[in-house]
Amino acid sequence: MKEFIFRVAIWACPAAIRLEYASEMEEVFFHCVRTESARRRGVSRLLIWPRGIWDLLMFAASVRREWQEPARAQSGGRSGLSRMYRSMKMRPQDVRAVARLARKQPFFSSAVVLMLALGLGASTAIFSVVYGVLLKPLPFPEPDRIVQVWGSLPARQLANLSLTAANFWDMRDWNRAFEELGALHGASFTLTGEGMSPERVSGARVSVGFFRALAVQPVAGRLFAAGEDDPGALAERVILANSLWRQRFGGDPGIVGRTILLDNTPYAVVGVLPAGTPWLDTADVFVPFIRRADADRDSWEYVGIGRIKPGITYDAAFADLERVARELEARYPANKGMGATMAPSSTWVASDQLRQTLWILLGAVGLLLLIACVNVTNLLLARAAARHRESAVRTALGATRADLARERLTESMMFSIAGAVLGLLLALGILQFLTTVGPVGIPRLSEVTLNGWVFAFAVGVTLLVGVLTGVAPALHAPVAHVMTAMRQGQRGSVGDRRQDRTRSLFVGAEVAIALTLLVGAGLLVRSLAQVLTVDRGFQTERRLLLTISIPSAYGEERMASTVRNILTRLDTLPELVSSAAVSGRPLSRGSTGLGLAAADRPDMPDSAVPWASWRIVTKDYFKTMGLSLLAGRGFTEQDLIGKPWRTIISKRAADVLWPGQNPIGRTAILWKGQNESKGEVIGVVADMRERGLESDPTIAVYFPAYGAMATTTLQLVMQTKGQPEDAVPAVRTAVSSIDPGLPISSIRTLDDVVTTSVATRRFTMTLLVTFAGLALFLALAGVYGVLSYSIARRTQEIGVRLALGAEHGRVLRSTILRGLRPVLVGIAIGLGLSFWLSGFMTSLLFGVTASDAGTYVAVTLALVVTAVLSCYIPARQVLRVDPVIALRAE
Amino acid sequence: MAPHWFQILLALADHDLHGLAITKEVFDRTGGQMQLWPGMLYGALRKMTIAGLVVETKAPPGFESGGGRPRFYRITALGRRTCAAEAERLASFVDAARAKKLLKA
Repeated sequence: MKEFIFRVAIWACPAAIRLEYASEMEEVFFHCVRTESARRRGVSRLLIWPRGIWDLLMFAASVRREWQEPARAQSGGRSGLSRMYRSMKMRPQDVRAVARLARKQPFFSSAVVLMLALGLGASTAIFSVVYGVLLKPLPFPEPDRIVQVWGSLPARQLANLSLTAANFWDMRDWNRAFEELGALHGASFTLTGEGMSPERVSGARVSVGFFRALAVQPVAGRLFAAGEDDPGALAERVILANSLWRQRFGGDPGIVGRTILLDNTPYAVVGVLPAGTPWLDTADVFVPFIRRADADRDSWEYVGIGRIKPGITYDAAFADLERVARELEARYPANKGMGATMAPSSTWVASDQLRQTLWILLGAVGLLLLIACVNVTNLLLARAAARHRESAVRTALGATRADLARERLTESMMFSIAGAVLGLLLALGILQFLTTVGPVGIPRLSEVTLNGWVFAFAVGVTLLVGVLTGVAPALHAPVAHVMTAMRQGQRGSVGDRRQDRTRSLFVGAEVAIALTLLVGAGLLVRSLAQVLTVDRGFQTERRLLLTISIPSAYGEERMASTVRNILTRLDTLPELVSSAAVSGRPLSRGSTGLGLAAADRPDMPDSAVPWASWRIVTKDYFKTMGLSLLAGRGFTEQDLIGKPWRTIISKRAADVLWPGQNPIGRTAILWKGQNESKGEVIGVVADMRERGLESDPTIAVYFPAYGAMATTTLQLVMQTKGQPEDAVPAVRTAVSSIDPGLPISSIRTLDDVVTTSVATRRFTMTLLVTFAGLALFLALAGVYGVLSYSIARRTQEIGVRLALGAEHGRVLRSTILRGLRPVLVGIAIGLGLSFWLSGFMTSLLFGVTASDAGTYVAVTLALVVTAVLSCYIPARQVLRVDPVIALRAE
Repeated sequence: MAPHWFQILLALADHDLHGLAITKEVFDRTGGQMQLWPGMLYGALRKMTIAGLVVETKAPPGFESGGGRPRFYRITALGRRTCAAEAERLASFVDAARAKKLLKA
């Protein structure tokens, strides 16, 4: 990449010099870059490359100066084409002329450069993110052969279910299409060691095939070898994730072969994983998932990853997988109705929604760049018009059309190069900002850098911009009508009017694009507002969540008594209003589910069986979460789980099972299609969006925790009297008074959890609003510029009209209306464009439709009002026109 | 004479060098104060060749570098005299500074 930049820069030199010196200069160049980067610190390091490129350009310029005279003498004998090429090449005197002009009009030049930098910077940064997140290949060899394997229940339209342990092993043995098939299952451990406080680390159980399917290479030691997941194999082996290895063990390769204590059991470290995402960072420690003869076939918990054999197509592998699923279904009753699906590894990179978000953002910055280019072209056109007479004089003195066009091209190229340099710096800044404050939940965002592709993209765009913004003014260079042009004073003429039309057209286009971006941004703003105000069912104020880990070594009895003691102790804390335990946190990914049916409606077809999420809760859970009990009663400590099955269901569940009837006392069939337990409904609670604010409220089933208190991971929710954070020390003291060794982790307020869950949406919205705001600003600047320019040239005409008795107000009105004409045309086109384009962002919207009338009206109004303002400011000048002075100016 | 011309001549005063070696020597001798970027270096060497202060020579036998056999530069008699004159001119400033007790003798 770096070599590429150098070679681009060295192209500024004449070919002969380049061939002679390039390789030596390259060597010296990189020596300089190396020594400078070793020497400089901080921001000044950013200047190394510009310094080096400046050096090369100065060299090229000095060599060219030397060569100028002989080259010009030769060109007489060349062919026409080569002469034309030569005549269109940038010349130092043009560069100097442009630099002189730029110095004379600093405001104009900086406006042009800033607009370009803005467009280029924003688009380069967003393109970098799109590349880094979506397009960059996964860190695994031949990722197109890697797939994720899921179970499915086609009758209930459930795809993407995890695999059961037994099904996974059978799939691994029976398939013919996969080179490797592996499984992963989440776990967690307490890591202890000499001189360290116990730490809760995330773990995963992986079969041997898992890392083999990914084809990762360990950075130290080895991965699990064949046979290490066979029945009876040694379970106490561990592979460390790269981050844990660096943070906890200082990146020492000597860790391989030593043992670490997980849950107070020694595990031998066999290897260390490379850094990367996904999967390699899903857990801190990876232990073997060992096959057991009595592997479970009911509980769907395992992630399956496969590597397709070379030469076998995706479709063939899928067909093979379906064959295995059919054989499993035929052989085991528990697999009735079960199928299998798979998805290519490219889906790991980003969810469909994120993918769409990023493409939309890229489209938005593309539009912003387009507006910036149009604006710059407009500015250059205006200036070209102002220099019309100068050009005519020069033509009369013998300058050719090529000479004039070349100068205009040089001008716009210089502006775009300056804009590109500034834009690249801006892009670096934006990227720095995005990667440090960007929301969690965008995979690989933190790894995004400006890279070669992005640089090439920026260079390509810059050249395109340079040519495009250069061509329009260049075509206006006068040749044929020199006399007309020279005679042409300030008064409007045919040529002028043609230019006005071109510029109005451009302004109309800008307004149309800006309106489109504003509509997009407006729809996202409304969506976020809807998400935040939607009835979530639960309360988030003064709610605290935390996890207490209890060692499994305690055994059932002691685990249960510890949990009971903690809950009793917390109830006495004056800082808390109430507290409860729950088997799964709200708004966390992944949940436990079961098929639900009404016992008194046996006619319900299988496909209509709703899938309900289930949670095990203690008696105060509903009170603590702020969920109201709508009918029946809550749990008491006398309700033991499964003895007999008693359940509280959510309102949605009640509506689905017994629409319009009283569900209390009726019997529900739990785990329909599996073990089909019968349970009595004792209460109905309000619905809650526990899968996230944007998901529908779940059909939920709650069971009492009593009789099943033993757990290694105690999830607690609490309602506090004061600020939730203030209650943490009291909770800590209370827990350690019961058992000082218990680690407390994942302490979050529910408000915080909710905020994080909408972070990506807020991020997208903020970016799109920023882009739309910039686009609006640029478009208004265009409106302003065109009108004030045309007023400046019509001063005399206005003077005449005033002298003939026109009222000031009338003239002002007509002037504003003239300025608004392209705006209105732009709005009409923009509305059509928005209708069409907003259809693509339907999946990002929540609570509003893509054709939401309110948004369109509000945005249009805002645009009209600001446009009137930006017409009014220049139009006021007509009030100051004194007819006498205006006429005398002739 | 431009400071970097003087430094290049000084580097070539006692042995023939190729471009990269000149940059390295100048950088080290000036304690990192003068970094000869390639454009500056080869621009100067081209002009100094035209002015007759240095000549291009073949690389000494047995010399191998990463990029093949680069051009070596040798100082001419004229270059040597010019460099010495410049050094004397600079030395006279140093003497003046000493005389005015700005520097210790």
